[in-house]
Amino acid sequence: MKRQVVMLAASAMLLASGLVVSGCKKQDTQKPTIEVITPNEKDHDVMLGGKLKVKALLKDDQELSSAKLNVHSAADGHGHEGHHHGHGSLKTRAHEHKEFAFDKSFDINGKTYTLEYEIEIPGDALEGPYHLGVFCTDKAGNEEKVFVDIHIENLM
Amino acid sequence: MGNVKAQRQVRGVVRDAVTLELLPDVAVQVVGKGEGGYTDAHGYFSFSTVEVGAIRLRLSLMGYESSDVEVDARDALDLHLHPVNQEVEAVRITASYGDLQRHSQAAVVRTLGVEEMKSLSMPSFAQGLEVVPGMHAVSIGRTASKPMIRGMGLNRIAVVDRGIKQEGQQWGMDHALEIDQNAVRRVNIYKGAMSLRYGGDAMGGVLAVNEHSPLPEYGLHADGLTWVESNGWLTGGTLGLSWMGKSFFAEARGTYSYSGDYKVPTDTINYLSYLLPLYNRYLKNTATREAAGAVTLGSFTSLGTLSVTASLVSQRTGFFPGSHGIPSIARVQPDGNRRDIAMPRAESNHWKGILNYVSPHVDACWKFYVDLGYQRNLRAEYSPFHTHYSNQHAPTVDADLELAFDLTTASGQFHAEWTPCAVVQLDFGLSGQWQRHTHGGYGFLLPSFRRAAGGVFAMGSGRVSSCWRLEGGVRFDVGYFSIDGSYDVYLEDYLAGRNIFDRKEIDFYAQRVNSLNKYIYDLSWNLGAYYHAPAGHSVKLYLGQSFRLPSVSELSSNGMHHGAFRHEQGHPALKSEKGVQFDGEYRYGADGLEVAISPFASYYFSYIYLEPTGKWSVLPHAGQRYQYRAARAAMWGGEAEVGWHFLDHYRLMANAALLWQRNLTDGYPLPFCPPVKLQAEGEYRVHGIPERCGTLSLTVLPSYTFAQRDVARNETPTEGYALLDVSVRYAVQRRGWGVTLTTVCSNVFNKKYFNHLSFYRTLNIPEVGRSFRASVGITI
Repeated sequence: MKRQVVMLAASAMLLASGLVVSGCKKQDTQKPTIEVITPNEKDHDVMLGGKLKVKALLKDDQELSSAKLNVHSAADGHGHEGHHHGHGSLKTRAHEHKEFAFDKSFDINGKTYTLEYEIEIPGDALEGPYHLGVFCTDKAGNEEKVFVDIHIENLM
Repeated sequence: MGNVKAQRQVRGVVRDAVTLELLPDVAVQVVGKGEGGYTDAHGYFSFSTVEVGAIRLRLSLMGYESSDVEVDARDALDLHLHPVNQEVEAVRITASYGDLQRHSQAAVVRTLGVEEMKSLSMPSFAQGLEVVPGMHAVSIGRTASKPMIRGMGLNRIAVVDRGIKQEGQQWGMDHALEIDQNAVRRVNIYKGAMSLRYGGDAMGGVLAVNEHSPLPEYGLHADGLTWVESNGWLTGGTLGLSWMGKSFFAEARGTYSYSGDYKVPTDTINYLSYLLPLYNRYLKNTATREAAGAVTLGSFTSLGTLSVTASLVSQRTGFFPGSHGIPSIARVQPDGNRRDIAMPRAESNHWKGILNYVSPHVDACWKFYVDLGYQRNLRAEYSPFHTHYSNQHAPTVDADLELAFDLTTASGQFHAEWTPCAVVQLDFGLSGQWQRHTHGGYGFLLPSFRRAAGGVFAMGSGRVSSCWRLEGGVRFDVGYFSIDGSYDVYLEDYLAGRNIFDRKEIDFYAQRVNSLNKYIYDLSWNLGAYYHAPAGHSVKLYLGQSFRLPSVSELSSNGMHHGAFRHEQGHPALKSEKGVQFDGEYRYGADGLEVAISPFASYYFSYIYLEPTGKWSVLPHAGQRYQYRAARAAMWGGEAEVGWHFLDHYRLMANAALLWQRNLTDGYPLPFCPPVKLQAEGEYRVHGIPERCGTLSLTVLPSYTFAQRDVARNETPTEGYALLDVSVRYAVQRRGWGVTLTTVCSNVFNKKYFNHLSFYRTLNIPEVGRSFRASVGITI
C-alpha cells in the first residue's frame, strides 16, 4: 500500500510538471538572418581614400532591433612593429599610416530591413587584411553575425 | 601474495532475516579467537584479523538465534540473523560496498566500483560515467571532458577526491577534469542538494571519488591495462602496484595516453558563414596527451587509519584552430603532422597532496575524521601572439603564452561522529578552504584573487521503526572574496586613439576588473527519509537546500571571452546561487529483476546566467554585451532504470533520463540542458565454456538521444540521433591472476551527430564517427 502511494505521488509530480511546461508560452530563440550583398567574393578590395559600400539584407521572424557595422584589422599584430610607407609622391613625407577601425550602430525595426551604408576609408589607413563584421539583434535578444574578409590597398 | 601473516579488515552489516532491518549491537566474533566487534547503530561492523582465507564468524544478539557462518569475502558482508522461534539457518549474501552505501543513507547514491570502472574503457572519466542515467560529459574534443549531473556541471557540482573538493578552472567550458580514471577505485554519485555534507558547489550533486579511503587487498598486487583506439590512434596504458601488510599499506600508479588528430564524418564545417575544409576529414590539431602518477602511503593501527596521497595529473590538449575568434581558411590548412600538439593548445598540471585520518572508536561511541588537502592547478593556454591593439607587442619571454592560471588551494575538514545510543547517530563538522589565484600571459581572462570559505554543520540520523530511517541537518557557510582590479592600458590607447569615445566610455571598457572585497553567507539543510520493506522494495525521499558561491568571473569580468566569443560583464553584487531540491528514489530488486525510478524537482531562488543586454560592445569583433544576473529557475525530471538477469546467461538493461529546465525570470530554457536520452544494453554470456577457461560475453548497446530544441537565446539547437556500440569481452580469473580482453566498436553505423554539450557545438563540428577500441588488462 505504502509503495503504491509513493509511486502514485512520483507519477503525479512528473505529470504535473509536464502540464506546467505546456502552459508556458513559447519564447523567441530564432536568430535574425543577414545576407551581405556587398562587399561580395569578387569585389573585396577597397582603395585607400575610397569608400566601402556595404549593403546587407536583414530579416527576422518577429521584430528586428539593432544592427552594427564594424571594421577591424585582421592582421594578428605581427605587423605592428614596423610602419608602412606610402608609395609614389608620398614617399618623401614622414607619413605614418594608422590601422583603420570603424564602428556604427543603427536602430531598426520591422521584419525586414535593407542596411546600406558607405564607410569612408581615410587616405592614411594602414594597408592590409581587415574584417567587416555585420551584426544584427532582434527585440528578444537573439544575435547573428557575419564576417567578410576585405583588403585595404593603395591602388594608385 | 604468500603466507605472510597480514592483517585484513572484515566488515559488513547484519540484518534481521525476516524484516531485513539492520541490527545494532550484534556481537560478531571470529570463532576461537579474541578478534571481533559489535555492529553500530547502522548495523555495521568492522574489525581486523590476522586470519587468512576462510574464517568462521559467530553472530549473537538477544532475541535472535546465534549462528556461525563461514566467510572468505574480501568485500563487505551482508549477514542475516533469524529471530528466535524461526528456523535456524544463517544465510550468507555477499553484498557490495555500493549496496552498503545505498542502505546507510537517505541521499540518492549510485556506486561504481573498480570492476565497473575498468570495463568502461572510455577516453575520459566523465564519458565513462555516462552509463549512469542522468550523467553527461561536457566535452571539448574527444578526450577532454568533465561531468554533469542532470544538466548541472561546471561549478554546480562538486568533484571530491578522498574527501577533498577538487579545485581547478572548472567554471570554464573548455576545461577538462584533472582526474586519472584509472586511479579511481570507486565513485559514489550523489544526485541532489548535497551542500550539507560537502559545502558550496554541491548543488546538483557530488561525484565522490575514492570516498571513505578505500584500502587495497592484503598482500602484494599489481594491475595493468593497455588500450588502443583506431580513430586518431589513441594509445595508452596504466600500471598500478599495491601492498597491504600487517599495519602498513602502499599504492602507486602511473598512466599515460596519447592520441593524434581525430577524424569526424564530414568534409566541411560551416561556421560564421565560413566553409572550413577538413582535409581527409581530420580535425587539425586535436591531438592530446595525458600523463598521471599517484602514490599513497598509509598505516592502520590501534591509533586509527592514516593515509597520505600525492598525485599529479598532466594534460596537454590541442584545440582546432578557428575555435577561438573569427575563423580563417589559412589556419585550417594541414600542418603535415597529425601527431603533434601545436597551437592553439591548453596545458594543465594538477598537483595534489591529501591526508586522511580516521580514528578508532573512542569511548565506544565517538569517531573522528580529519581530511587535509593541498592542490596546485597550473593551467596555460598557448596561441601564436595576436592582439587587436597596435601598441601591444609580443612579450620577450613566452611570446605565445596567451593565458596562465595559477591556482593554489588548501583545504581541511574535521568531522566527529557520536552514537549516544543504538538508534541515533549525530555528526558535527567544520571545514575550511583558502585559495589564491595569480594570472599571466599576454591576454587576460581571470584576475588575481584570494578566496576563503568555511562552514560548520550538524546532522543527525535515527532509526524510527523497523522499516524507517530519518535524517536531517543544517550547515552555515561563509565565503570571502578579495579580487584585484585590472586596467588594460593597450585597450585604453586604442579607444582613445579612435577619437570618438569620452573618458567615461574608455574607462568602462579598459577597466577589465574592478577590485572587490566581499563576504557572502549561506545556509544549507537537508531532510531525508529511507523506507526499506521486506520483499525487496525501498523508497528514499530527500529534500534539501544547497548553494554555490559565485565564480570570480561572474562577479567581476568585463571583456571578450575568447572561447565563447562574446563580451561578458560580471556583476559585483551577485550573491550565491541558492536552490531547494527534492529527490525521490524507488527501488525494487528480486529474482534477477531490478527496477529503480528516481524523480526530482528543484527550485532556485537565485540562478546565475548571462543575459543578452541588447547594447553593442565597442570591442573589436564583439557583438552585444552579456551581463551576469541572478534569476529564479526551476528544473525537474528523473531517471528510470530496469535490469533483468535471466537464464543465467542473459542480461538486459534499459534506462531513460528526462530533464526540463526553465529560467523563470526571462521565461527561456536554461542553456546546456542535456536532451532526453534512452539507453539499453543486452549482454549474452556464451554457453558451454567451462568456468576455468573464462567467460566470453557479447554486448550490444543501443542508445537514442532526442533532439534538443528547448534552447536559450543564442544557443544552437541540436538534432536527435541513434547510436549503436557493440563489444566482445573475454575474462579469465584464476587463483592469483586474471586477464581481460575487450574489443569495442563504437558508433557502428558511423553516424554523423552533434553533441549538444560539446564546446565545439557552436562551430558545428560533429562527434567522432565509427571507431574500434581494444584493451588488455591483467591483475595479479
